[in-house]
Amino acid sequence: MARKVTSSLRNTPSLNERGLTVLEVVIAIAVLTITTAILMRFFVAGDRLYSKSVVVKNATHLAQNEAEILKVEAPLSEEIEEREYEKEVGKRSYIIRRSVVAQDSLDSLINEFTLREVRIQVSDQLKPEEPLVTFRMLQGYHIIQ
Amino acid sequence: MKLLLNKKGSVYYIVLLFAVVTVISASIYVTGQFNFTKSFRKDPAKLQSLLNARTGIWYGLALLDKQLSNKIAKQQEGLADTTDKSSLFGEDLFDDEKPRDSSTQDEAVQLLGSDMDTLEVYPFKNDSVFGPVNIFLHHTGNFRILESTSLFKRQRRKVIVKLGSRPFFYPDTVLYLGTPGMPEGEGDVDGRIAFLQKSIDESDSLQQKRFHVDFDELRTIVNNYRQPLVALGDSMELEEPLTVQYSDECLQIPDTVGGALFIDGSYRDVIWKEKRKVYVLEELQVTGEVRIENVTFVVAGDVKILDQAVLNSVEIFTASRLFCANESKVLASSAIACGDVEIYEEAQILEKSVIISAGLSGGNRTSPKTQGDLDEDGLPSQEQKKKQLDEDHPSREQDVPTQKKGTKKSRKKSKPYSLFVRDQAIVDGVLIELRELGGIKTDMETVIKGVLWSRARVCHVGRMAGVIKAFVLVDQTEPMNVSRNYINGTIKRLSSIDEYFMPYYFGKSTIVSWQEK
Repeated sequence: MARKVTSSLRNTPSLNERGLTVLEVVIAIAVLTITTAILMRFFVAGDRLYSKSVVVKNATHLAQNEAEILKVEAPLSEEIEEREYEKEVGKRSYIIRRSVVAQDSLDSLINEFTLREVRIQVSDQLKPEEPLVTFRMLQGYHIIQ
Repeated sequence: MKLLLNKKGSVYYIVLLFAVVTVISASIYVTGQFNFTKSFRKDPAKLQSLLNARTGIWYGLALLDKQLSNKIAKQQEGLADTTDKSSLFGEDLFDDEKPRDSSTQDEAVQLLGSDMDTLEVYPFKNDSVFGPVNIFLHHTGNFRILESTSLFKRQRRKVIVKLGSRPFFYPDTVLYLGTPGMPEGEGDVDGRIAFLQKSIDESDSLQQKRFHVDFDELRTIVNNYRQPLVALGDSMELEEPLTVQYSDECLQIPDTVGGALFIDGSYRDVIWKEKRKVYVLEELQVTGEVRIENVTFVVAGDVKILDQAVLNSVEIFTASRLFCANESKVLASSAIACGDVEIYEEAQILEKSVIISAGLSGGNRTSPKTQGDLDEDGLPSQEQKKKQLDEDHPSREQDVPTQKKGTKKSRKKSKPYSLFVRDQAIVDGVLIELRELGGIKTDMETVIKGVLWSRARVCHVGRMAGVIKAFVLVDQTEPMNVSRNYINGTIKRLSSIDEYFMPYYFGKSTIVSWQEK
């Protein structure tokens, strides 16, 4: 009898050795889901950060390209021209604007008007009113005659 | 794992494990993305900083241009009683007695007075968004260095620009002469000939800027070189000549050599590449197989570059004469000699080097201590100038500086030329002669590519591609006859003439080279 009891006790799991209950599994899944969901936002944020950085980088490169063109052309030109054009990089289209900013103080300072303030803006074609990047500079023109 | 699954509550460990792994993964991912895109995010600030630095350069150029315009305007005001001829022949060298306008002087001091000045850039200077830009102007002999440094959002960018002056020449024009009349003689001229207006009283300010030579600036340059020489000569005892025969010894040459300096590569090659300035209170002689790069020499005595010496990107100032002879080569360099310049035998001046005979001292001075006859500017005193002028040009009292045949006998020791290209010398560069009533002489077997610029006469017997600018072309047999143009040699057009640069005080400042850091 005693052997049976012993045997029966040995086969019965102790309180600490019982398997997973449904409740435990459900709670575990729920916790994991919540954690993953929260952390997924980090992944998404990281992706957005990357995408946005790439867009800004492309926009900056386009602006730099425009600045280089200006640097070469302006000294040979009689006047700095304003212009606006589109350029596609990857799957995105950008609008590049070069504008001359009126700068009265410069006119009074430089008597021969061979200096202009120029602004270069690059914006997404889908949101042309919101420039991605804006750069300002003074540019000499009509220098080489 | 099996053990874990068989225990009550073990699922929490799994959850914890997965959660930790997920958090770590997310952190690594986000951090990676952040770091990866960090450089992208810096790009706009870098570019704006660069544009600010460029802004400084353009602004500085505009200020220099304005300064030049002001100078021309001031000179025009003072030219009312100056004859056409004297203005062409550089009487402006002798305007020391004229009182200078104090405001102009103050402005000049403010902008360019010292060796390095800061120009403030409006409107960026105090703009909190765009950051400050500092501009520095360095004087380095015939050229100036304009340096603009910008700091914007921790991004520091620098633009360094070398300023010279672009020749005003047109590609199809080969002769610019002050004396009217087509050149006579057996020479061949393949290109157009332009005759300069005798008066600079032109309405076209651009023309004035192109032809304007700023002798004040030249004086400043010479003065900046000469003053330390005179000061050092007064304070130092005359030393024995210093002879250098090894490359290692070159690095030990002191900044001031109290005697002559001989760099001798006769026994073994001597190579000296160093960015530094060396003052030599006696003569400098470079002989044998010597190669020198980037060194600036300020020399009181003669400079002799002989044998197979090669000087690359060096700057030379000599208060006396400059000689290049044998098979020596001077590459991409700049030199100012107060006395005569002689390039002879098989010497070569290459890679658009600029050599000037400033004609400010009468030459052949071996020590600054012997230069007591110079005025404060390091230039000949007024009396000496007049004496020199009278000797050089007896007919000066007349308005026209032409030489009458009869006056030849009365000359004591007249030197029609101060810059010589002789024998089989080759020149690819700009040779400028600024002596009052001096000239440039080229021999028959010389080959010249570039520019010959003389205030007075040029006697061209050799072969040339490029441009000659002179008051008159003279015959080699009659150098004092300046009443007509005469050419013995040949000259043809050079399509790449705009690649040659004049010193910055020859008209409007132009960018020679542009470097961004």
